[in-house]
Amino acid sequence: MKDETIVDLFWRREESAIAETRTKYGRYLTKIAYRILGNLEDCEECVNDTYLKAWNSIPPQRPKTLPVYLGKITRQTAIDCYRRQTSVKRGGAEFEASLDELEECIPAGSTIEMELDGQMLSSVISQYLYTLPQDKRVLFIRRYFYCDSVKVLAKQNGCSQSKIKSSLFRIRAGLKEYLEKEGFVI
Amino acid sequence: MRKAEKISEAIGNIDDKLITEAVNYHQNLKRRTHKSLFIRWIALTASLMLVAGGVFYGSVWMNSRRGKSGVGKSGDAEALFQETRAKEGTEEKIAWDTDDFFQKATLDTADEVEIDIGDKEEAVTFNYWISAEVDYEKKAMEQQADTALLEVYKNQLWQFYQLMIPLVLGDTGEQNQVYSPTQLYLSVGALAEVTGESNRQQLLSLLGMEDTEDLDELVQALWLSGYKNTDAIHSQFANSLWVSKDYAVKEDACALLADQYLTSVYNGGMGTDVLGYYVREWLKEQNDGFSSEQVEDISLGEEVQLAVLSTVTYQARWQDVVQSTDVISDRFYGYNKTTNCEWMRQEGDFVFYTGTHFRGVSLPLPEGDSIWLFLPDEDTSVEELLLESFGEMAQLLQEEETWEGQREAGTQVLIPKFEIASELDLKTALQDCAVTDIFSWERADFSGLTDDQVCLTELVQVLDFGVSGQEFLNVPIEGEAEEQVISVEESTGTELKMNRPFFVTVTNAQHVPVLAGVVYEPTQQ
Repeated sequence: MKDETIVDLFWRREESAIAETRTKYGRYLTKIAYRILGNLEDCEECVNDTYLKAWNSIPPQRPKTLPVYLGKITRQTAIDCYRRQTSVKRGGAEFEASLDELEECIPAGSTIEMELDGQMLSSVISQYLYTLPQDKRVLFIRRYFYCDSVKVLAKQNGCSQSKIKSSLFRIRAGLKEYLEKEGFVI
Repeated sequence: MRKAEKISEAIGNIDDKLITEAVNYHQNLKRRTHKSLFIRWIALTASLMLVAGGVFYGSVWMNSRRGKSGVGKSGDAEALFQETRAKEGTEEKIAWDTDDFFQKATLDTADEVEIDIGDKEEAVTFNYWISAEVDYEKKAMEQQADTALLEVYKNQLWQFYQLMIPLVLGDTGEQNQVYSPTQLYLSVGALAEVTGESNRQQLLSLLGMEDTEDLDELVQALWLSGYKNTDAIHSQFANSLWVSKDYAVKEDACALLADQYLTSVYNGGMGTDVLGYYVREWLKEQNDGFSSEQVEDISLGEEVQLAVLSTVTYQARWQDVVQSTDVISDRFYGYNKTTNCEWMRQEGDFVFYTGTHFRGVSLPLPEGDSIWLFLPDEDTSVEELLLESFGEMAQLLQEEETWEGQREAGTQVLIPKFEIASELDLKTALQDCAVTDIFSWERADFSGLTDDQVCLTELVQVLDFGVSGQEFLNVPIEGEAEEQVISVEESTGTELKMNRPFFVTVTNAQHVPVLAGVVYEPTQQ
């Protein structure tokens, strides 16, 4: 079923919208959640929450790109769930690894907690990514949005894991520099 | 909240176009470029032959015999996915499974599968194939090879090698053959850990061990001694156990096998396309030298209860030798025919060893490894050499410097280009060594692995091992352009020419034989 049709189902408040979404994007969303949470049980709960949030937000939303819209919901829901997990049970290995790597991007400075800065940070990161060659920004998103492992990225790109690691290192260093240049502190 | 989590959260809200681009990028890349690994391998080999310094390559892959043990032709994963999609009535291919199809193998029936050609890490979520998996690269970084332990058990190891090398290679029907005796030791060691008492005694007896107390450490030491990953050499053993989904495996046993015996364990539906796909993917993941074409027929038949699959990667550059640029004319004199073939001449300071029925030489490889070539005397076959002289050769392999046989200085070694593709039934070889119970339905005892009655069905190594070099030159075909050929004098005291069937082995710095083979016929022009 086409995405537009599914969105129309949401707008018409037909419950089949959820079933169709599950059929088409269930595995995709579960994959995103699993990489962050690392266990099936939490994944299922997270994906089910996604369907509920989609139901509650469409309408008034009319996403132009449904999978991206859903993927972002799942990702954030999974991250919220991740924060609630105990330290013993915490998260998917790749998500943890990606967080360790992202530590390097933090520019020097004090902490700012306002929600607006969160949105601005997203915007600034987007701007930074647009300055990169396509393959580099794709690599960044695959690693830090989708939490693809370095091994998978190496396979996707037909190169060694060392090369992937060094590319990511340089991209992170560039992001840090960009954030500092913009006067952005986290 | 960690600051990194704020960044991660912010990444979650970046421009939608960026995310869309990331998803579509690899799909478009796949459609544009689909050069097979095999073609890349050929191109790489060809290009390396043009570059100074030869390349020595060897790779091992698994293959079950077609037509035996119920091994069937492997399915096409993408075709099966498309068929499954069609069954579900989906109008369009799901683009948002990133670059993968997605698999969910149930334990009930192989028909309810959708195919995943993706990350094995994802596979564990949805199909439960993986009971335990080894990250070899990580293992190599965590530990150092305990070479002292290899010295402690040197006699036991060589007792095994002296039994198994002639046994496996001594009667090949005059066909090229190669296998890894050390990989076999590792595989048998892993089995010894999960078998009951009577089965275990047979295995330990073969390994030369009284009990399993030091066995896991010895296995690790052996494995680590064979692990190398540099620009000049890539060497790695990889072992796996595949258990039919009809039998539940014990988690702690699987974890032990992975952690202590460097053996991954997989539990799934035998005889299914899905399993076949994962078998092939595992082989390709563990061995970069395998192309899809090389492994395309590999699978495990539905009657398989338990199977051991192993692969050995071995790729290395020649070390400290000079490739000659002279045109060489000579032929390889097989037992039944003379073959025109390409030759490589290596020049350097060599020591030629002369023993009972043989002359031998060691050529250096990176990281202390060596390739040994043993040429039988003219009146001795390779089989006779292995059966009668292997003990002497083993002494030389272990203690080159103190070996008491005759030696002389040499300056040239001529090696024909060869490639050995072997498919070995090691089950028979083990049975010949009185290891029989693990293969018997009635007597097999894998109680350490599963509470079900199960026997070992398959224990196979298939190897691809070859030699090439920068100056691999063709010998002109008889009757054509002979006037251009430079005749070569018969082998003198300063030259060793491997121009008849010979034995070859690769040993590492600890003198452990990584690969062993017999060459009856070189690669024809």
